[in-house]
Amino acid sequence: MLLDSIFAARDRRIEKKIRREIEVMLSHELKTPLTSILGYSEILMDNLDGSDRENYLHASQINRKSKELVRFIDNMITVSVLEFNPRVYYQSMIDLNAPLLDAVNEFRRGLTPVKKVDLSMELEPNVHVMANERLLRKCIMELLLNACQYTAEGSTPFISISLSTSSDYAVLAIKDKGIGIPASMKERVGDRFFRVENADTAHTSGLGLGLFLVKRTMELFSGTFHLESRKEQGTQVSLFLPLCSDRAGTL
Amino acid sequence: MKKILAVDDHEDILNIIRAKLSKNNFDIQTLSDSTAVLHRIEEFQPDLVILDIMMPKITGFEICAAIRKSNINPQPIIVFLTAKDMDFTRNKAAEVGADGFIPKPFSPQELLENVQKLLVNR
Repeated sequence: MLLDSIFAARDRRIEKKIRREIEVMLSHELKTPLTSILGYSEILMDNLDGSDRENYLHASQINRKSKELVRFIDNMITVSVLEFNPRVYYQSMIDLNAPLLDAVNEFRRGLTPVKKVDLSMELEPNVHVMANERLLRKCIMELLLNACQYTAEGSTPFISISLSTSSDYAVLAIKDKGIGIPASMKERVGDRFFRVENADTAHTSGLGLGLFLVKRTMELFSGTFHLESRKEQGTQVSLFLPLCSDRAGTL
Repeated sequence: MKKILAVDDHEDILNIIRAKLSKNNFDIQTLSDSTAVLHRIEEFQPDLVILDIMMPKITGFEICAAIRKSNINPQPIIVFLTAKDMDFTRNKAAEVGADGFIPKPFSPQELLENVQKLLVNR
């Protein structure tokens, strides 16, 4: 009896590992055709620039949708890797301002699905933590996209970012004035594949991996993630990461 | 006019790179056979080589290392393209002597900006 349950547990672990490996492999295989769709649609947009508005809009829609797919696939890969082989994310001492500013620049460069975003920042300089810069940039990007996406349709997203230190922690907070999260759903935010789905979010798309990814990343770097939200008033996500003892050091 | 050689086993990727870079005044040649890269570099003498990493027969890492060990002079700038954007891939790229790294999927505009940045002092 005991032996049966040990074997069953082992089989479940192996099955889960194989499923994750297939997920990662499939996701990588999807990247090459996606590169073609993304690339050809952009070339088409270049060639149609101003000359044929209707076809330009069709090409830009293909481009926008393929960027959404890229984001989903990247998140799937990152989540799988975080669960099964997080050691591949090398950690070093970084200034949290670097991934934050990179993410904000990338966000401004056009990943935002709406044209105008009201974005303000208050950043403390030289905030050093042990982490993986690219992974943190990805998390910050997810939070910015969420803040933008979960704003009432037709309204200008308002996002404020603050980076500060508090005793032994770096605190990065991203706040929006969006549609907020109903109290009944707050507990489940950050679960894998969980999305707030109601009439207010009907215009949004996603797999519900963004906050799960943020949560897992914080666990990897011995940090925490805190969410405050009020329906129709907005959401604030705060990331807490242990400060490096040698704050003045360089890499 | 700066010369660029793009190497990838996917024709679609080569078509996209060719379309974007030729429109922006680069002299671009493409190659899908990874075994012919060194010979083509000697003939064409590109300023910059865009190399896919995962190719049949010989990988981009091996090609890059071979270029760096060769007598090719001047040495071209080498940029990797890859769908496997992990820290160890980036470290390996730096180890074999690459100058840049562009993860797939990439936007042609981002590729153009990266290439222009790398060629600015050439």
